[in-house]
Amino acid sequence: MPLFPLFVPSVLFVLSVLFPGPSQAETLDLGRAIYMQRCFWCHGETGHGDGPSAVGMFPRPRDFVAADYKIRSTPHGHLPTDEDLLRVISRGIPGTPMPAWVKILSQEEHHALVAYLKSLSPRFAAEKPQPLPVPDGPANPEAGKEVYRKARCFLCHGEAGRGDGELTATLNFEWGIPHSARDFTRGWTFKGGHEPHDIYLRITGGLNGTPMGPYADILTDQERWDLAHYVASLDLEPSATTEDFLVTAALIEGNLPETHDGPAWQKARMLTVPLAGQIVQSPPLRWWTPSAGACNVRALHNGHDIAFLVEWDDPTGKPEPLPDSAFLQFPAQEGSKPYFLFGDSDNPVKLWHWQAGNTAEEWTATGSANTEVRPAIFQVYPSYKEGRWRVLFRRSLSGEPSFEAGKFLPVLFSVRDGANGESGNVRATSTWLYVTVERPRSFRPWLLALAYMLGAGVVELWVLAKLKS
Amino acid sequence: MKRVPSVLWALLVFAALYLFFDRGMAPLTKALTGTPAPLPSSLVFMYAGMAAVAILLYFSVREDRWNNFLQPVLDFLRVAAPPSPAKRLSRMAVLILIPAALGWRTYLSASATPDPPSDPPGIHFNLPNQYVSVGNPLPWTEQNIREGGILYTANCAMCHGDAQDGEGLFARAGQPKPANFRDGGTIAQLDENYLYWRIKEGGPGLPQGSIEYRSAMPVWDGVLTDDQIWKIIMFEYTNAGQKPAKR
Amino acid sequence: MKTLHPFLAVMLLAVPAPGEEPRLYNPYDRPKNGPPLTNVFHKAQPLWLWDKLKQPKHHPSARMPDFKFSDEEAMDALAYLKSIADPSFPKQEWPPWTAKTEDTMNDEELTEMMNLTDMGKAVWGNARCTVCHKANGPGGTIIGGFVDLRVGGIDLQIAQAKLERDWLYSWVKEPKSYFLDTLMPRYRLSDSEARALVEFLLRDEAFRPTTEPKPEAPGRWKALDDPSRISRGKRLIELSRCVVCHDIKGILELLSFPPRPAPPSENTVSWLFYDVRCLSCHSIEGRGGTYAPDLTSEGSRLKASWIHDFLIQPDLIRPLSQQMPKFNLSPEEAKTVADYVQQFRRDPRVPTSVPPGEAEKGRALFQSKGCVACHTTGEGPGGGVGPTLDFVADRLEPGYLFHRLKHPHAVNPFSAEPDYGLSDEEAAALSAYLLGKKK
Repeated sequence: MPLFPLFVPSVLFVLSVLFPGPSQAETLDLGRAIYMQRCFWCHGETGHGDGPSAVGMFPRPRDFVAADYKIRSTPHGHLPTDEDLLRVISRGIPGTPMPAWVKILSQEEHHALVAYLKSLSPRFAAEKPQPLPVPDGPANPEAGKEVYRKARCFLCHGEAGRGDGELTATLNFEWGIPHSARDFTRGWTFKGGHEPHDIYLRITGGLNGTPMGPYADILTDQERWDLAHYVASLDLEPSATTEDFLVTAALIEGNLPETHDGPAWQKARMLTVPLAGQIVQSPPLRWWTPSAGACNVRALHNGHDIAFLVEWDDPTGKPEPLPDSAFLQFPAQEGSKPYFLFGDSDNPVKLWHWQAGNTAEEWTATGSANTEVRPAIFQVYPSYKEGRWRVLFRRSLSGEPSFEAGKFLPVLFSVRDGANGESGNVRATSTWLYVTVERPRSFRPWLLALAYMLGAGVVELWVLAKLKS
Repeated sequence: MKRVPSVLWALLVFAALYLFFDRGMAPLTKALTGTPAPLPSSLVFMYAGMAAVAILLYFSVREDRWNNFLQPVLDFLRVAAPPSPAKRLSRMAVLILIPAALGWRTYLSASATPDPPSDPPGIHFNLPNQYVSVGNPLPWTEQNIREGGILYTANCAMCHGDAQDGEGLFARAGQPKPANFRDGGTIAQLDENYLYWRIKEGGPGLPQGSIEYRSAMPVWDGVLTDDQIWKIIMFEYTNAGQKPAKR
Repeated sequence: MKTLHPFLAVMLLAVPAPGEEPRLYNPYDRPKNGPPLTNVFHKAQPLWLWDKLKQPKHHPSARMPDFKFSDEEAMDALAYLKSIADPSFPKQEWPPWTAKTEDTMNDEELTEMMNLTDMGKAVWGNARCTVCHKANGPGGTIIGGFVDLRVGGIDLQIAQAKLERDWLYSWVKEPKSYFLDTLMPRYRLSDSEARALVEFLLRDEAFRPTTEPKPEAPGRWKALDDPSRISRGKRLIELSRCVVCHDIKGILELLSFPPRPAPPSENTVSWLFYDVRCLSCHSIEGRGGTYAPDLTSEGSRLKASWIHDFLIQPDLIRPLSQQMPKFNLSPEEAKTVADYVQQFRRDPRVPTSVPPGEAEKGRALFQSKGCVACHTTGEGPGGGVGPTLDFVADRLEPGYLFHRLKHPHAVNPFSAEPDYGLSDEEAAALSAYLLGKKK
């Protein structure tokens, strides 16, 4: 009888006796220590998701005692696997304050934390969660589109996938139940990742505690795989970042468009501007959950006028209970860069304010409490369709402020979603960006280049002549 | 063995130095201090200029060296030397390429859109006089740090991040980005008083001479008490694994 | 005032220690706003249900989203709702004439019907149904009701096209037996009162649909029992997430709620607030409805004896449309509530006693300060702008009266009463005078 099969286990056994790993109690102690240093602030001392800074957060920090985990690779109602927990800890949850700990905690600390989180719910001792298999075959997004219709995904997520479905609007804005459906066009906000693999798991297992139920028994594996690819294909909007913070008004010939989808807009480079909530004011006015996370901005000019097209997603275009609105903000004084929230006492700002119902006003503000309202000297062309506002602001290049080639004017974008209870300082806002207008075409660079080439040629000829002599 | 012409030496040394200034500083500083500190392009330009001058000086201090240096160039250009067709062609190419390259550069720089003003994070300002002698009145106790943590997560974490890494939920909207306290180049270079000033007065408190506020940092004076600010400062240092510069 | 969001709300009816203030049931802290659909087939007529599924926005006050069901899909969903209805849903014995229309009844039956509907109308009036519910008003017989979305009264203009007789009986008798989280109070109606109210609702013109008759449903009603239709309907209901707002048997629950606490034990104030749903209309410390006065500090204002009597027989202190309903409370129950209000609902700013004063001097002040221009005291003429003070001592606590005279705008900043800046002595004298005004 060959003894070899016994060899490896016995070596392992000897090794484990000689070099014991951390005991379970040590691992739990380490996990608890990390938890109390890093996690307790939001998730609470006892893990109920009720830490001192959980107030005002939505979604609420996870309650580890209830163990109702949303991001799982397991079926609905099951616990997550260790890998699921590790992944959330290490990557964080996009669109929420949950940070990515991968650079801060070591692998050992990750594992200790997982062990500690699991110790908070007795369910983990009793259940052995198994991950769902994910297909790896080919998928047909076109077939997925049909599944989207058949499975009535549009009821919540909207026809165009912007999270503006009839059901979402009703739940959120008539019943006050804050369940918003994911806007599929912004993949960077998907909590559990936006790869078809991730989306497949969300569709199959659902998101516990939300209206997003499991489709495991409703759709076939292939249907869900197709649907996941269709949903992934809707992720069209670029991730918002301020690494790029220059809006350039592209030069076009003739009149500026008055519509939002004319061919002229193809010439303008689109900038996706991230928007943030309100953090400064005292808690009732603090706003951590603005409904717009970003807006798309394009600009055109024709030598006389400038047009800005601002687009953002809003699950409801209804005027109730408060109107939606949008701002463009500029410094009121040439060369200044005031404080970004409505300026300050020394540095006023000018605001182009549009409000649904077609109010357009020009404000001069020195702080949010001090605004002087004047009739607008710009035109506004708004439209709302399929969960998206598109608002076009148009004004003469000259005026206050004036737009000139070669000049960089600070500009700020801000929107309010009235149905989300936003008004006044409760809004989504960018910080300062810059806007400039494209220079009219001229021969100057060509002439300059020619002059330099001629100069160099003359010098060369002189050197050659000198060497010859 | 044929001697390598000294002009080629000069070019090689210059290229090596330039590469080191431009690319080599980041890995070197990283190996030495742990954080990469690449040279800004203006400094690279200045150092490269100094290197060029030094090389030219080296070759021009002695007549024979200078002649050795110049000879290949002169030979190349001199029409009188008996040229092979290949030499003639390459001379022609060089003579055309130099003005063409110059023209190309001129065209590019004349037609390019200039870069917008960049807004560096404001850690290079001088601490205003009234803050110089302010001191942290509170002891670094566990309790104070914990209270600071609660205040931090409620007030600061949305931008500076629950992990103190400058990656809070709203950080992506920040221009410039919120400071990353874990980075050795932020709070570790500053003392507590500086942080106290920045928290208390925020962006609007930065010196106005430069006409620009370079920060979206709010004014916390009036929202947080002084004690609360000090507690937050102690928490920031502790949880980010840093120490104040003067402690 | 905004209700607590159902997910954030503390739904616990914590059992208070003796002497501790009980936490009272707030009907707005409920997990689901929609009524349960498990027995909806017993509640509403099939044609009405089909129309509601297909065109939820048919009714202006409806908040159900439009699910864009086709005729067939609405029928499928209806078939599932029929299949889950409990066959043992309570049925009542009804006299044979109740099935007849008025023109086919004999004289005896007609008289019986008329008597019953008259009685039902009285029940409807005493219960102040119009505070929440809307009815038609031909000839102005019924006041156009107050329908606040928050109070959630169901439009009864279509009661006769919608509701089933047996369901309506059990609903007016025991609303919680059908919908545990309803805002509707239990009125403790007797069997005959409930029958009378049902007859009134199902007979009176005020509850007959005035809009165009509904379109006929496509045929195939019989196919409601088709198993394939039922399973299609179940799938449709699952996919449409009806379960987010409604309890529906057989459909997977998606949202997680804290476990529902057991109802409070009977004959405690917690139980009375739970049973009568006082906080559907009233509020205490920011919890509850906005329709009726806030009770937060009513204990400092009203005499326990007056509260007790008012609960038994709410009198006409307000315009008819705003009167408090008669809940048929027993004297013991009324005392339990009055004691609770006296003990816990106090405003520390209001003194509990009044400095001594001369009633005669108060009488003179009442005339000289001009109080008489707005109030009557049962002595000679007086104005009608302010409430009558004829029996004010029966209603208000002496301390409150004094406090109110001193600071007329402390309690209600919008009160029309002028602030005369009365001295303590003057206020005490006026208090002494008014405290003599008893029945």
